Amino acid sequence: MIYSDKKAQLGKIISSVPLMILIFVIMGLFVMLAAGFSLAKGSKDSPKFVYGNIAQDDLMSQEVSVAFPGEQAETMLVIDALAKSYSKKDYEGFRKEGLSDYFKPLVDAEHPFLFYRTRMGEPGTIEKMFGYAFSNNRACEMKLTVRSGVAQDGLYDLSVNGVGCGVDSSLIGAFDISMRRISFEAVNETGARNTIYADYYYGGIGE
Amino acid sequence: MKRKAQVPMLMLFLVALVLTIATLFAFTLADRKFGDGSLVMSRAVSSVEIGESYVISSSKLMAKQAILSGASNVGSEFQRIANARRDLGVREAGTFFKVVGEGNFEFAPLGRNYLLKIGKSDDLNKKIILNAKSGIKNENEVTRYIVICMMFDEKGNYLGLGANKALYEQSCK
Repeated sequence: MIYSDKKAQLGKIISSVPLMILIFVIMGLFVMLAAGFSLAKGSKDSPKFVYGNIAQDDLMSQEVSVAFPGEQAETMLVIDALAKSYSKKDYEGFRKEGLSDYFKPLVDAEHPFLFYRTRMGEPGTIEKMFGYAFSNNRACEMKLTVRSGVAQDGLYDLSVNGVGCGVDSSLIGAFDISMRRISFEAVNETGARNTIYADYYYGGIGE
Repeated sequence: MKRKAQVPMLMLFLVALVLTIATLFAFTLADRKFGDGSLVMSRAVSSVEIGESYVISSSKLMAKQAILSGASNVGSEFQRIANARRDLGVREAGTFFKVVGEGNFEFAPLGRNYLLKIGKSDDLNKKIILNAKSGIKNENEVTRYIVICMMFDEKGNYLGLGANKALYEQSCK
């Protein structure tokens, strides 16, 4: 009887120990894989590539001719014009009143709507929203009121007041537009770096 | 003796239990804020993309201005215009203005057209490097090297790749 019991035990050990070893081996593999993945550092560099033809339809890449106060008109990119408008305190009034007029020519039949507003720093003072619509072959200024502020995803609920210029206000009366938000850093006259935020929409409705 | 024989079985049970509990903990404690992580990462990517777009658009505009200026040396004129732009200090431009400012580029007539080449070098100091970091400890980093090879006609208009593919392939090697 005792002999038979010993035999049973031996059978159990033979069948259990390899199983346990297998389990530990699998566990070990799992731990090594997990450690490997967490320690592995991917390459930070993206592949090199040469540019040929690139579609540039973004507002910030558009060229505008701007005459800053006391200076001659100069052709520059919109992003440069915005960066320059924040570079000197003397330009503050111009940025808030005159600069947007220079963006008017960008509004055409192909890009009938342009909305933008900027601010400096985080959270910064959000400045007036500028809006232009193309109607009757000319760009006209839209009177915009932001109803519910900025949603986290950049979706604005705009209230359009006093559109004028023959723009069909029912079309743009209360539409939600998803504006693009970008930030970039530029240097001001004191040499300090400013982060400038720009929220904008450039194109047609329903795009 | 019979009880002793149960030890391996008991061990198996205990290991299975420990694994189950560990898995449950892993599920419970796992960071599910993928959206936040994605947003932080996308900031770095977005910054590099803005830089890329900025560098390309600036190159086109400055090349056009240099050609239209009528200067005998379009390369020097291009460099002069770039140095003026550099003062704005747009960080997203990366090393673009530094590379151009140091004269590490080619901009010269090519037949009736003009060819602009910047950043095609094995030397890091001559490359256009766009870099952005994001995250609390700047743990996310994106670096992109770009090589500019563009052609312009005598009026400073950018010649797209489409009709000029063969010329581009020959000149941008």
